[in-house]
Amino acid sequence: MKLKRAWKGIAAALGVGVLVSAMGACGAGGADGSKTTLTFLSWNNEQVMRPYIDQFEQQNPGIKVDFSYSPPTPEYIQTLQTRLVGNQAPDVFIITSENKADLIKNGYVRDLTNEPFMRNISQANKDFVSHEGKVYGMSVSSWASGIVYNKDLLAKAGAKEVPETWDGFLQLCKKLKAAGVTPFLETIADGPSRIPDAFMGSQFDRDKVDVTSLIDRRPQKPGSDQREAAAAWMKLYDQGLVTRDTVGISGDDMKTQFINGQVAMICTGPWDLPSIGQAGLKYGMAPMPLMEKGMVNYAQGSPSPAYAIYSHLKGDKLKAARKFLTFMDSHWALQRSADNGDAITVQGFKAKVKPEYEQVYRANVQPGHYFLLMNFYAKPDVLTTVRQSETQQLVQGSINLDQWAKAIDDKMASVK
Amino acid sequence: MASQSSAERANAHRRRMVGLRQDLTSFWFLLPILAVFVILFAVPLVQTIIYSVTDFNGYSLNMHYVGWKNYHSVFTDSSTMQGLVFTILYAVAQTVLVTIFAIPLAVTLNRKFWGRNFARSLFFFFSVPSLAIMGMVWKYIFSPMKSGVFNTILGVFGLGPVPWLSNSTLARCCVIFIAVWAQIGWHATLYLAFLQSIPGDLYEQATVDGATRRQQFVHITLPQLIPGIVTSSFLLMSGGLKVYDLPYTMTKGGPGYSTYTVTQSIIQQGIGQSQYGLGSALAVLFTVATALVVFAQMGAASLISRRFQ
Repeated sequence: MKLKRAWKGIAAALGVGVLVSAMGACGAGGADGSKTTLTFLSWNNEQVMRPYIDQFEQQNPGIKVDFSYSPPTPEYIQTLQTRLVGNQAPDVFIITSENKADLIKNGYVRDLTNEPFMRNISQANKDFVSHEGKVYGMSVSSWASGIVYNKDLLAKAGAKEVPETWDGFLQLCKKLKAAGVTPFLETIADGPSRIPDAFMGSQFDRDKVDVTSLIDRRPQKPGSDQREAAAAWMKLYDQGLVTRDTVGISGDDMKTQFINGQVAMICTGPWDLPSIGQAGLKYGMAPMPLMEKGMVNYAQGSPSPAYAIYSHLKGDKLKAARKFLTFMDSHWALQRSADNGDAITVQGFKAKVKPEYEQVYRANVQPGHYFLLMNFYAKPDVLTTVRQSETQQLVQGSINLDQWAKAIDDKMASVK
Repeated sequence: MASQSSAERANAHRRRMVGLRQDLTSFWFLLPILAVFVILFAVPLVQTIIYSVTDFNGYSLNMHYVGWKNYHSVFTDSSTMQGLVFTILYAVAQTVLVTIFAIPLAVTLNRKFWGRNFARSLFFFFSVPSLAIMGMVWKYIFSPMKSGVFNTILGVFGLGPVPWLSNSTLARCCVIFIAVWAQIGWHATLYLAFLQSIPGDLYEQATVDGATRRQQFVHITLPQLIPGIVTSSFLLMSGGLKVYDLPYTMTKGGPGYSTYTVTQSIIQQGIGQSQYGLGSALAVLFTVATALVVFAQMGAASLISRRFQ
């Protein structure tokens, strides 16, 4: 009996000891009390981020990075949201299209406009996370999509490259179809087409629209705003050049068809180039055709997610967060990101991209000529889902363009 | 006399104390599950009801009372209404079809034939992988491209490709087909257990009386299976109303809203779009509607059971 009591006593003491030491560790922010602990929530996993953190800690021995990860995008947003509301906010985290409006509106992100590390960030990357003239994140790279084409199949229609204008593109599709080649394929099952966003970028450039002001417009009318671009894009379907089955075709299906040489052109981004290259095809990647001659060429594209600093940060933690962002903008970190395949847009950094991506990189990424609808309107998560469903119905032919635009605008108007 | 009544009182007191101790013991055994119920069900349910009358957005705890506004929005949102239509269609269709196919399958698997155990395992195996994985695999099988598995097979017979997942009606049929295909084996196993509890002498007597197999099925097997049908259809209906994984992984609710479900709407609007108030209102309404449907189904099943008793 006494032995039992003794064991109970030892177990209780051990339990309390473990609890106290764990709580102590939380309070001190690390084993070494002299270090400042910087909490960082990323949507890249530890395998990707560990080299950056190790290098940063080596360069800043007084700072320890407490890394945590949540995969993109809905899981990451929900994790961050829970931590912010539960007073467990990370010191540095990712701000992106889907959460930037909520983070800025609720005052969770620090204004970085005048920070020294923002000086060489490209304007398009700043615009992505700007509101009322203030910049809330540091984005160092961007992507742009384009038309990936099979050179051998294009040759069957006597073409060597993708035409520069949309009318030329439609003519090429007709020729390819006449030659018995499936001209073009895209996926509407995984998301709306990439083409209308590219056209809309050119359209806004022509109309001198300040895209950063779109988010404050009331009511929000992305459907009406994109109607002209969508009408041009729908010619593909109205003229029977592309199968309406695209509403049930996944991105993987589309890529497989292209790799197997069953379709001449697809619309995608640089992430698909490695697997297409491995298939041994003779292929190229061209910028998106122009909606109308004389417009400035835009692609569907976006700056990569940005690093943000928690707005309530003070003292050593704030200094550590600034140092971390300065490090992520340093040559070592940018080179590492470029080696990982990111197209760096930081001014003064000589980026090297895949040869096939070079043309799109020079035409769209470098000058910041890319546009992604959801980056510039309020409630992008609502916009993404409603646009996808309505676009599928548009392609199926069950609604017309006016109904499509109205359905999107009505949905946006119903959301606060 | 007085001492007798005081002894009775003492006895009654002792019995009450013993009863109380037993109740207390039962309470301690029930405490863990009660705690789980309160923490994981009761508290979130109350929170959901509270959020449903506020404008809580998930980012700020400074929420405001908005009355019935969220409930009004639920009924004016066309996507939610379309989701409701498909959810009801899915739940009813899978309940009816699984029941229609699982009973004959169970009767067949209950007979003696070579490879019976293998056949039972095979049909049961369909229900082992999660419906989310099934959805991803069948997405490729039902691809509307010529290279899709079914379309390749049709091509061998000289038939053109069928737009399985790009046609709204066909997409709905495909989702329901997979749900039925995946669940038949599990429900047949459930019916098998009920079939094995039917006394064999009922069939022997019927055979002596000259009843055909069909007559035996209609007049013995089916009435004896009523408790099984009640259990199976209850599980199918309640599971069908809550469906999310299969349509989402196969079609993401498309084309358009043709395979959109109420649960997808709750998750998408509530969590994905940070409209917790609206999502909560939808969840509350859906919980009430599901409870009504399930109670109605249980009432109907009970009436039918009594008819066959």
